[in-house]
Amino acid sequence: MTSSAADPRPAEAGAGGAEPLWRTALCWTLRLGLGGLFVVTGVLKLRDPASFAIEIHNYQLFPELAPALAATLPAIELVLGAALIAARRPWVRASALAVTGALAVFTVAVASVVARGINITCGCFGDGSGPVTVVTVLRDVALVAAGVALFRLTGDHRQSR
Amino acid sequence: MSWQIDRPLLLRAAGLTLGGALVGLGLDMARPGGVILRAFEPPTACSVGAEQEAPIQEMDAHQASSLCGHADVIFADTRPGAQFAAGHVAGALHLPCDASASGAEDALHRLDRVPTVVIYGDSSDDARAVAETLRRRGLAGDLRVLRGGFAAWEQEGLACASGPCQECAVTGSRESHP
Repeated sequence: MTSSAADPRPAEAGAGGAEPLWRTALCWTLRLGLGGLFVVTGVLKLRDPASFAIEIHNYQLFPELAPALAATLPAIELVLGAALIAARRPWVRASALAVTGALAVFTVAVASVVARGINITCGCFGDGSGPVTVVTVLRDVALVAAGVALFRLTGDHRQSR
Repeated sequence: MSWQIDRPLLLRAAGLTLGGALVGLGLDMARPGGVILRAFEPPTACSVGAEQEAPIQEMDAHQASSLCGHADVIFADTRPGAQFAAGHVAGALHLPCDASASGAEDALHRLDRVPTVVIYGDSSDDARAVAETLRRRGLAGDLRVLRGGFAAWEQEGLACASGPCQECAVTGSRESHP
């Protein structure tokens, strides 16, 4: 196995030329930040799927999907988070795309809760979640921006196929 | 600016998502507390719209005893501490009866994780009062009241324990009663 096949690092030192240090550092910061966040939230939600299902149900968006989402979302977050941290670059980019999509959906969900004046806990971090407020929406918007930035950072011309 | 998303990228993203979903489904089916195979009982009311609450059902001692030992059922004793220590439904949680006490918040948090709570007191009425208070404070699960209170349970000779609550985080030194 070549080093590039197993090395989870971005292709900062790839064949196409050196990537600027700031870009490598930012890429890794976003990978570790978003990836770590998704792994932690996935683990926290996995601990009590029944409570998570109730929290999803309380959003009053697609209540009939609450059990299925409660069963699958934590593991999806774990897989995506782990891929962001440890996968090869093409998979990191794919994970960044999926993470950004998931975060966009979460943002729409919490924004709709705020818009409808529903007073519920977010469910974002399992039992320790706070209520859904404008701050929650802004936080999710920032995370979406981080996901978009990571997607772009991992999409340069040295991307391997 | 190149925002073109290539097919392999989409396939990888879909693969990661579907793979995670399959792992999640597998884990959920393998665990006893999963939400797919086990019937999910959605809350009948959340923090708003509490006026649309599920009714609090009464059940007799034999019906209640059939729920004993279920992982998703907890018994809650609303009587004063001395009575609780003298005898209570085996495994019951001792609730502070003053719902305005800070301990009630802890109780609510603890009970909120349990789908079904069977509440009993000296009589049906005092247990129902506590159940309605818990419901108003946001407890969304299936709340039931033991008809006839602990006396009915004792009369049937059903499983009892005595002594102080061993794991009662919500019972403070105060033992007020409504």
